Amino acid sequence: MAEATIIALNRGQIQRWAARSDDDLMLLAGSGQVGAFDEIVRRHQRGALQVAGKYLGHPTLAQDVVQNTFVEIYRALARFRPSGRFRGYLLRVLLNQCRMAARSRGSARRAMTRFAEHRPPEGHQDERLLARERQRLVEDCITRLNDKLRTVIVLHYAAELSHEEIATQLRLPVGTVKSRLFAGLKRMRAMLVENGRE
Amino acid sequence: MSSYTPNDETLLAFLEGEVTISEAARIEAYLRTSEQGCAQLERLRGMLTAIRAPIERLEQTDLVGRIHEAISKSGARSVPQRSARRRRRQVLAAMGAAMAAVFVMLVAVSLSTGPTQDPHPRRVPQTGFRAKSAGAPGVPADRWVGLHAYRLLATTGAEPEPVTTTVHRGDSLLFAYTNLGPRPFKYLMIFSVGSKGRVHWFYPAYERKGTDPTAIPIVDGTGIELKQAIRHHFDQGPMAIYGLFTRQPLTVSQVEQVVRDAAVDGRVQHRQLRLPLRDTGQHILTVSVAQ
Repeated sequence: MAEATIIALNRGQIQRWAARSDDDLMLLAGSGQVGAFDEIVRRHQRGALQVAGKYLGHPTLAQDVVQNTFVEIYRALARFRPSGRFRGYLLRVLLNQCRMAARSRGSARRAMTRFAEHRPPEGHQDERLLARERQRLVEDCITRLNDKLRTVIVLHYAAELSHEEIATQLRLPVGTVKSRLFAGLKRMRAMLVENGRE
Repeated sequence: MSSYTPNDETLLAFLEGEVTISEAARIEAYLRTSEQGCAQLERLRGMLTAIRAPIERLEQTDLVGRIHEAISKSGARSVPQRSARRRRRQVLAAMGAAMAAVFVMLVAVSLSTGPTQDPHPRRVPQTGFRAKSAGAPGVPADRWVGLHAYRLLATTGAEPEPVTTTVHRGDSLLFAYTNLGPRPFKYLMIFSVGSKGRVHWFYPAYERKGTDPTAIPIVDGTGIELKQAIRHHFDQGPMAIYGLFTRQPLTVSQVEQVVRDAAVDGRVQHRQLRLPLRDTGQHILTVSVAQ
């Protein structure tokens, strides 16, 4: 009974946080409301994990990177100034963490090795298996792009930002964003062809 | 038959909706007649689908617990204070003392002067100002809110003490608030209006001209601390410190306009200070600023 009451209370609290904006939650977290920061994590972790996962091509590493990202944001709570652009701030910190992780662990090189090892499973014609295999190959291709192309691809397809939003995020002209996007896609397509997957 | 054959880049732009209408029509015409072109387009579409597809393994991952653990392991603190816990204990102790003092004071005031307004406002000597709520009678919302002010003495390391009657120009002020009732408020603004009508902002921080910050979000509860100590150079004389509790995030400029229209500065001495803002809770402390 008591446990049920506590659960109900917690649920009520969570619903209350859910109605707040990101800026509100960050300010509340800065004033010591731990639940507010939990809500920030709950709200953005899925998107952040997908971005890190696509950038690094390594789900376990992606989890570490997203964890470090939120810890860094927590540390900087006192300096946070609300501007209605929390997601942009989160992506900036996240991409920095991704770059550091990629550099320090040489994940790009490992991905290249994995790419070379991939072979479409002979005799397995199951649609889902093939689709998953194809997805893995494509994700490996992303990790082989240079940082400029990779960042734009990931922001567009994993973070689902428009060309204009990416331009704002990276402080680039929209034209540059588009040309990097298509250069990245073209390069990926060439990789797939070179390796006989197309 | 047309000799037009779009390359991968053009087809990708087509799939992304980044070609002109005439170019799109040209590509569509090409695809109607070319099986090879259709296969090429399907391969590119498949690649884009694979890039977009979420990584299944990460779809259900919940990092809240891990992040909690990492924060506590690394000793990360959100607020850059040397001893936030110690400061919190001090403020809580001071707050308890202040509440007790306010209670005793209110009992004493109600016994000695009785309720309702004085038709002949008394001339209050400068040192006689008392940190006291104004505007509560007849406004039920004001009963549920409270503003508690503390001053950090100019000497370093001193404990914060509750603001009662006087603040000094060099004091840094700390605040805590109470926000209760059936419909607690969602936002708070704290500012002071001095004898010359100057408005000083505590929350939100108003540091640069040309910006127009909004009220800070708050939670419901009693004695909730705001952790930053803020210092202003106040004008000497009587001063009102406002705790303005709202349901909408008002901006600094909106409130300053109301303050100007209400000519608060001329009324500080008479304690008729409640701002004409509907559906707000207000707790106003009147103090005197000494050199």
